Amino acid sequence: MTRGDALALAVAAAIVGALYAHLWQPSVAASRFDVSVGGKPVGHYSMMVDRTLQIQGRMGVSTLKVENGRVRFLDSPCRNKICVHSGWLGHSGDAAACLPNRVSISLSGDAGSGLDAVSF
Amino acid sequence: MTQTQLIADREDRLVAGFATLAIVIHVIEAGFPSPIPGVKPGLANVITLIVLLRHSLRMAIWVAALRVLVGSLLVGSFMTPGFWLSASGALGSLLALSLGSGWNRLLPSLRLSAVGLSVLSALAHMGGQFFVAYEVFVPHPGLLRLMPPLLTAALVFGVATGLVAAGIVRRLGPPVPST
Repeated sequence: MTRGDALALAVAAAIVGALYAHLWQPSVAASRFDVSVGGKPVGHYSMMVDRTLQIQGRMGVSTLKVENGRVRFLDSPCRNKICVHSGWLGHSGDAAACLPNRVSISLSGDAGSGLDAVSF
Repeated sequence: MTQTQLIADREDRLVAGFATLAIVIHVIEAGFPSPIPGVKPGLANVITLIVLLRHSLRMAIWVAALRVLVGSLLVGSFMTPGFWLSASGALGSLLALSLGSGWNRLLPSLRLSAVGLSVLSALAHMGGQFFVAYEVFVPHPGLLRLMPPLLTAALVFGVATGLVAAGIVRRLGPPVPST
């Protein structure tokens, strides 16, 4: 091993370490969420205010419930109810969608980047 | 009518021989199931490194390109996503090896030997694959979470590959000059 090799190894290890630090952050609680219909944003809401929202989609009205800093699909006029089964979402980067009704929500936090957590 | 005659010179024959070795390793390695998807020792890269260290960057590029092309034809993955990942990985690793060779010319005091070159090329290989995988095949943020552990594997296997290549180059000695 030459000194150059040691340098290369150190740089490589630093890059990998930095990627761990950057990409493996613990998920952050979301502070707000965006609602889109058919890919177009129709509004963003705070997670801090408990309420029930009625979102007009392509098939009908999807109902969202916000409670204790979390949000979920309460009901949607679709057949499979995948959105409803997504359950409560509370982490930045989480998302849920009712594809038949074209309604989707995505959560974001103050950390900003959408890479903090993932769910389908 | 003019006739073009292609004569294989010594370099062509060396490239063919080394590429054959690399292809055999590539195919054997493809036959082994990997415990973790995406993690492979990348032993075929040993050949690329040996060619780079004993001969030239130009020949190393030839050997790697032939290996990816013929290896994919033999395994049956030509033009599949796996082939593009393999090709982008090879491209990344060759780019790293080119930069490494340039570095060695500019800064002989901090010369990279087989181990350093191998580590950089392994990381670049994984990086190139990830770039294509994320940009083309699965543009999902979840994919990026796989990157750190896969790069760690690349780091470890890069060192191992480099040590193997260094050992082989030591045993082979300098290339025999052509008669």
